[in-house]
Amino acid sequence: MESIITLAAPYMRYVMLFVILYVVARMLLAMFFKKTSDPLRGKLVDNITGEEISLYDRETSIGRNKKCDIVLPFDTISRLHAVITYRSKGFMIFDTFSKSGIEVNGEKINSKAYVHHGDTITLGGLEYVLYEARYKFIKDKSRALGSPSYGIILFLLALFNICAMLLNMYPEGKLATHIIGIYIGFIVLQWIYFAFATYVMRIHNFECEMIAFAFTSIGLAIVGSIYPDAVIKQFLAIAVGVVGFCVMVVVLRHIDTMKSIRWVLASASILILAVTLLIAETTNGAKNWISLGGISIQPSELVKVAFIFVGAVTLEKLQSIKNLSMYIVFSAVCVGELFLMYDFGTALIFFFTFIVIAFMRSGDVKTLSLVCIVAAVGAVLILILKPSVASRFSTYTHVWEYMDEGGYQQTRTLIYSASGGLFGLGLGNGELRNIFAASEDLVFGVVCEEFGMIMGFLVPLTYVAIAVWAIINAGKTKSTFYTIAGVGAVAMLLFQSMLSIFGITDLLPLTGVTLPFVSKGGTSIISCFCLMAYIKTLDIRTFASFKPRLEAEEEAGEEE
Amino acid sequence: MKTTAKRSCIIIVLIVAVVAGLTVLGVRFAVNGEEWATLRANEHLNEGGSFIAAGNVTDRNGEILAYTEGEERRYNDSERIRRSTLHILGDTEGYISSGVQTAYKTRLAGYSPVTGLHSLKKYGKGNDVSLTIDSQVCALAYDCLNGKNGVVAAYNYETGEILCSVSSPNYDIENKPSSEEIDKNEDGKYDGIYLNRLVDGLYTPGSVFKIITTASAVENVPNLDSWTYTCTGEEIVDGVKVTCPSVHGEMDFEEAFANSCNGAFAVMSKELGKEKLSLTAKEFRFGESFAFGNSETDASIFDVSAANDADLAWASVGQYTTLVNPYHMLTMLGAVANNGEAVFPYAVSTITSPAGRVVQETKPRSEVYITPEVANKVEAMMRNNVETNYGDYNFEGLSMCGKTGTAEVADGSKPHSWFAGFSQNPQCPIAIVVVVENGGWGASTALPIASEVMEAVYKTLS
Repeated sequence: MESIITLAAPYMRYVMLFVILYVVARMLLAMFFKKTSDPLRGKLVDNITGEEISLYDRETSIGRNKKCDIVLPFDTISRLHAVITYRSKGFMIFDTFSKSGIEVNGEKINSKAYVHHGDTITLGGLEYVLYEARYKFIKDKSRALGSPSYGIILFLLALFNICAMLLNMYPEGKLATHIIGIYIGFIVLQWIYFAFATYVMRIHNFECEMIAFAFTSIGLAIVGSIYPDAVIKQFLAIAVGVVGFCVMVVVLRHIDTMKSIRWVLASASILILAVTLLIAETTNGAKNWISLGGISIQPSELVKVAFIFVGAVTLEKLQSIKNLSMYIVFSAVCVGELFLMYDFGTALIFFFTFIVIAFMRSGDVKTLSLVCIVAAVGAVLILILKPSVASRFSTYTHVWEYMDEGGYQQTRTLIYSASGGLFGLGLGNGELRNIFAASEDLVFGVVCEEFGMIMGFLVPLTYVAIAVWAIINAGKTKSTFYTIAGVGAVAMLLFQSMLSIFGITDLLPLTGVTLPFVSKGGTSIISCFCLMAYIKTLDIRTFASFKPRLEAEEEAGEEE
Repeated sequence: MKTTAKRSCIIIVLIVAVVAGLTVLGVRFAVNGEEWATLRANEHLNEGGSFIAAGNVTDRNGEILAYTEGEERRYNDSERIRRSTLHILGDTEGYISSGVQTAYKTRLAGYSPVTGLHSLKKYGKGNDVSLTIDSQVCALAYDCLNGKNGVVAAYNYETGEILCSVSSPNYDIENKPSSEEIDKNEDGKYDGIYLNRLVDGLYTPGSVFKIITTASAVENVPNLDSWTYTCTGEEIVDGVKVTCPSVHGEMDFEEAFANSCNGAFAVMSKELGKEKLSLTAKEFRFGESFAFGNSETDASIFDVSAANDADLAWASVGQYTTLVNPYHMLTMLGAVANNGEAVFPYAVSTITSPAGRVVQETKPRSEVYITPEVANKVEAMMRNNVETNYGDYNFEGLSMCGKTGTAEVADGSKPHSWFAGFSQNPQCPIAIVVVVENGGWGASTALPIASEVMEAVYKTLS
């Protein structure tokens, strides 16, 4: 068996690269170019002009407002006039407090009604005939791209994990059954999530999740290869992360009821960081780890999730300065505490996220410039007053001169990344893995060396693509909370990736932060999954659920 | 709501920064990746700082000169071969920079920007190198040098293949002297031990430079055949005495060349003048370095810009500030032997990947130094030297052309002993340079070495 694996290993690296490339590319294409992953459900045909409107979504909103899925810019149409839903029983139309009402086959409906094949729907004087796709009278011509089949995506990810399992199951020549269990378990976890999300949470598109699964697969493959014993912990963290993701998705649907807890979250964040500061022991120069009953966690990772929540909850007084000043205080305390922990990387991530969120909330360039100047002056003062801090960054841009001292990790990352070429040396064949923090801070180098530079660059480029997608979709959400939280989370992930990759390759000073989803680290993985939930809120398909109450509230908010 | 969404454009700054950074990183990998991947710190290629990733290095007859066994680099069984091929092979620590194992590191490791070091990992060994040298001839040349410092190099002036290249001092790579011992350098026995003198050597040429002065005379003096000079043992130029080892009497230029008469050349140099002599030196590529594998040779020097007539006279007989690199000397001999066209010597014939693919194959390169007429006239005079002066018995069957040199160096030291020549025998188109540092008379020290090595080469070729 072992010898067969050895023979197959050179081919497996291509399979693994292909899987990740395909999954990521397919998911990004789906995110950018498709309104939905659902198949065509039906069509509305204008009785007079013959114009056709395709219905893909399970919920399609119709109204004068530009945010609606179908925009009808006529005075007789209300801002949000109607929502057409598609369920197993067929189409239903809901009147969402329209002024002129809705008629089906000439009869005015009372809040909702089933609509059948061939029925005529009248909205503010416009007449449409509904055709249902299940009668196969109409063909889907409008879409260039077919729906991604999540079955294929999950199968490919399973293939990747089986490759990882095969390559990792003989650590030091002996069969390790727990490795087999973990990788099978991870595959099953993906399927369970898929089933649960489809049938219980009623989610029908999984681009964010599949990208997260793809990247955690890379990470788990590396962890299993370098630290066969740590793989259990990593897997458990992923499982907790997935659960956290589900909880977040559900909770975030009811954001209006969650607003009240922001003070709790804010105080808890400050408190947790303060406690960490008090009881944590210094690990690798930073006091950011605490041990709870044998499990060591990094509280700052969890605070990240709360930090975005607190920043994004700001529905009322959207543009007010007073509202911002409280947030500035909160952020300053968080960043200050992280500084005292000597966790400069995380402090920087918090600071950057703060700037993004604060700007989105207030647009107050003056105040934020001032904050930046104060922060910069503070940072310079610290560097001058505390030479020990400055010395940590002394090798920046001089790593080759100190290649066996301060520049050790960076130079080795560059040397071994280059050794991997575009396609890598194959999982388990690297040398960078023998260097301290290989699967955490140096993981970009390990990915480059063992999976190839294509894969290494793919990770940050994917975050870039998600960020672009976030900007495009920021205006389509049903609440500013989703916009701010989603964009804030994207900014956090992308900024952290930048610090991680550019720090270890000497483009930026080395701050020692993890690469989201890929690096080893329990708390970090959990926090990444929770952040992904915020990003998913930008996906209007998930959150376009029929929630008249919130819609109505927002309508009111917009008119202020 | 809308304004909030628009403000999300703030992260465009971040996106641009990340994309720009990744572009810079990508460019750096493309530009420096090869250099980084082949650094000594790379444990894929090096074991304890030694470069072990290369495949087998063989000589022209398939004799294995170096190979990797386990995680150790091993060499030929014969100490004579190990020592004589040391500088061509190079070491694994990178001290001998022009050696194949250092200069061709990236090629030997099989590094490519696309596949990285994958070939090395797949086959467990790097690329094989086939050299043009004949290790037996090298070993003989090493014996001939008999522990003296210097260089012996012979190459095929038609194809450019180097058959013999030995640089001394050298050491046995399997029993390398400790670095303390080398640093101590007792009796100067480790003087420039890491230099391949063929590539990095610069020697006062003495009378072998007369080949260039002769070429200049052929080019510039209209009635050279009727040119005569009477040697009295010395010639006063600008009040400075240019001496000859003996009184040669009356002779034409060909005889003056054969007698290596300094007085005749002093007069000739005055007749030619600085410009013309410098021009010929330039034609012969003085002042230029040459690519030897992946390293560069030291450039020969002929600079008479500040010289007076006496200096010029001394420069024309290879003294004054004139310095010649042995590799360059080989090319000049090649030009004379090959109708004015110099084929450049090389030592690496092919590099083959473990999969059997030829990664690199050296193609002969050449440049025209001088016209065929000039080359043939100089060649005839060099042939005359051997016939009338050194004796054909030294080079049986080779129809040898040549010039010796006895280069005066610093006061109190014995002169450098030179022989530079080539065979006209079409079966043995070989040019040879021998330099023995402080070896004394060219004819008594360098010439016998050349004679033995040429005979050996002739035997292997026929």
